[in-house]
Amino acid sequence: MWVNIDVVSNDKSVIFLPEKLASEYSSEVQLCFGKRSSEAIVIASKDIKIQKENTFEKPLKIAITNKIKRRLQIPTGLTYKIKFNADKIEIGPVIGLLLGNRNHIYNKRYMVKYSDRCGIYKEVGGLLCAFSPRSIDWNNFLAYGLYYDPKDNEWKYGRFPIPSTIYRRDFHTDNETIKRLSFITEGKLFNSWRFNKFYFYKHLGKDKYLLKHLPLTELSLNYEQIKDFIDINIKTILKPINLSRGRGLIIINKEGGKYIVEDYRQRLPEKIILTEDNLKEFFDKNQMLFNNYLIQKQILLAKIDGSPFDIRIVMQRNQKSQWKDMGIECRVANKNTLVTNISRGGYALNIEEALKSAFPNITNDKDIKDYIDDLCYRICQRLDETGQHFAEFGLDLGIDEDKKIWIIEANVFPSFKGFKTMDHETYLKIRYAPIQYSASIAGFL
Amino acid sequence: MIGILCSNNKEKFYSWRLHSIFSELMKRDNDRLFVVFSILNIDLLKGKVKGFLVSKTGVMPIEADIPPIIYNFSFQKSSEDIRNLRRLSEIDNIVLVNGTNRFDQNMIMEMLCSSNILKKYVLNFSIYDKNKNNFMPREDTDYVVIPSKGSNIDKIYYISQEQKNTKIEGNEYIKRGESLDYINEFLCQRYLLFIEASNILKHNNCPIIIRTYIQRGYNGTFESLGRRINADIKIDEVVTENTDIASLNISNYIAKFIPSIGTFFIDLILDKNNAPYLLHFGGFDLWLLNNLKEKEYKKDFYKNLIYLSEFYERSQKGE
Repeated sequence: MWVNIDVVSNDKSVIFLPEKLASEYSSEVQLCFGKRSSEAIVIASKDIKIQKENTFEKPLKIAITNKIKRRLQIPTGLTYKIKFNADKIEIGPVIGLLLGNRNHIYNKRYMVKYSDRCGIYKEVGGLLCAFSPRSIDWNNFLAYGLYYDPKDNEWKYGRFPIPSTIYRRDFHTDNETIKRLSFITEGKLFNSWRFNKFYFYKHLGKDKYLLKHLPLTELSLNYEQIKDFIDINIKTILKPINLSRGRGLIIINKEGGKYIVEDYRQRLPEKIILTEDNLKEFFDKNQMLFNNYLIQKQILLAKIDGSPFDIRIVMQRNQKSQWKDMGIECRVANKNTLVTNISRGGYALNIEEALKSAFPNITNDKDIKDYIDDLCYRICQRLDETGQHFAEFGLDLGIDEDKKIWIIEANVFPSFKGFKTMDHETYLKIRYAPIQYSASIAGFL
Repeated sequence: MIGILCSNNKEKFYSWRLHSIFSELMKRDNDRLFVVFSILNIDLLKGKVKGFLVSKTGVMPIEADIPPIIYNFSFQKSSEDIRNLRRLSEIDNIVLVNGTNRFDQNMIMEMLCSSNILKKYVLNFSIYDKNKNNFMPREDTDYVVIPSKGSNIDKIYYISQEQKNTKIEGNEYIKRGESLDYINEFLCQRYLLFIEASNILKHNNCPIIIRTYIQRGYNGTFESLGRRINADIKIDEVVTENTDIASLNISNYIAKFIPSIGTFFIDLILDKNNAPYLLHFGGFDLWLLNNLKEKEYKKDFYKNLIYLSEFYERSQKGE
């Protein structure tokens, strides 16, 4: 049921409801808002009438006393949903976006990037707020930050309860804080962990079916190991285990006894040809490549107009908590580069177009798409076995010249730049899904 | 060891300056030592800094582990240095006090407006976006204009309406309606705050600005370290007491949103009834180090650095 809340001056903890609803309750109830709650007396008010129509636009007007407002820290002026249980009344949803630790930059302008997600507000309602782990008042279950005001369509500063569901949007928060918030929200903090690329490889590799789709990968340890790996596999790629968006990549191919190194660590990639001695010198100078890097056999990706492409599948949980493929885009590398990230100048295509361009005589493109869907579903299930709460992945797959599907990586914090221009409707669905999921696990959708 | 992060190439200057303040207060050789370094001399991969050790006896070069508590007294300009400062702030088990020393004034004002109690310290203001040309000053209102990203006192402009002319800064007359052109010319930032200030206290036609230096110290509480006024006038003690209280109230509330603030200043203006209003919230101000002359102030500054470090150390241990 949709409600608007009026506040009346009174030093008692009271919630005023229509007679019909109030009659369900004997006297005191537990009134909850986010992770704050208060005992409240239910009083039937003849002035509050249940209307035939109850929508976001035409909510029921209820009232609370200012004592309750203070205790629960409910911002008024928003449209909420209300849930009636046996001995508990819950107002919500209270959905939190967990930002990082750069508190001095979190302002209205910063929050504009979240505003397109608010397009779903009329379906979800409640308090949508954003806060930093550093601005939590743990003693009082409060957070300081910004909340979305639909009337002005902007974010405003405020103080609110620790939300009942939290969508993690930054991965620089220490694990203890995340554990604490997960505990407080009873596991309703999602995207609770960002695994590194090597963990992903090892974890998926324990599943025989998934292992078949993983390129040979080792943790980079020392020069001898790397050189052996290159000599055996010929086409290889070094990747930092903790970075995304194609940052820090080095591709090394062996050709005619020489080593062709394409270094993507700087904005403008560098290509150098090295002898065996030079290769040793290169690694001597770049010792960091033995620290948090992995080496992988390079997949010979299928090409479109001579440029390789990969496939980004956005997997998100729907309102029934099931994993769903919410969108697929194929990312074609910029000319003269092997890196497919759009941030590196590539472009996006839908999968039908990409498969037809790469394989002009293809007849089984639907089978390939179904195969990809199934594979992605299995990856999500496997990652769920970590015991962490995930609700969103950007899965990167590759398709080689023999149409074999390869698993490249999973991003817990994916970007959807390609969809924004390629298919705006899908882009918005992807943006809305975590908010809808949050509301559903809070019990309000 | 306590870290002091200073602006690039200022390590020696800061080290000797701090030494001159601390040396008489460091009683024993095993008192807490300070290492002064710049962002250029931090090796995040190795977890090391190169800088100068400030001890009771003097200043000497040192290479040390990145200290667990770092006071940021620096201003970073290049994007690479800003990125490195950000990386430093993201390292687990390192506390960076003063994560920044430059604040978005619009953001600070809006934070205060979110409190029913503290919004009394905020005068009506408008944001002027130069690119959008979205604001026209009213002809019947006086304004104080400040760049949203913060500024030093001499970049604060005062527009008063007198007869048919608009007066800026008390010494230059321009035609009514042309104040924006003047502001556009002399203030280079994109976003400017036009604070309505028709009823404020002035001296020589300029607003009187009281800057209060605040530092966080024992158990993380804020205290006023002292103040300076932009005019050579005597302000009543009751008024300064009032501005101190306002500054502390503002500090306590802003710290809920930006908890890393540790050593900073608050500029207040007064109306004709001496009620204080926020003009500008700033970070570390070098003036403070150069002007800590009285022993009591030096002692407070030094002790607060130590006390806050101990407070964070206890917090990290979960005590």
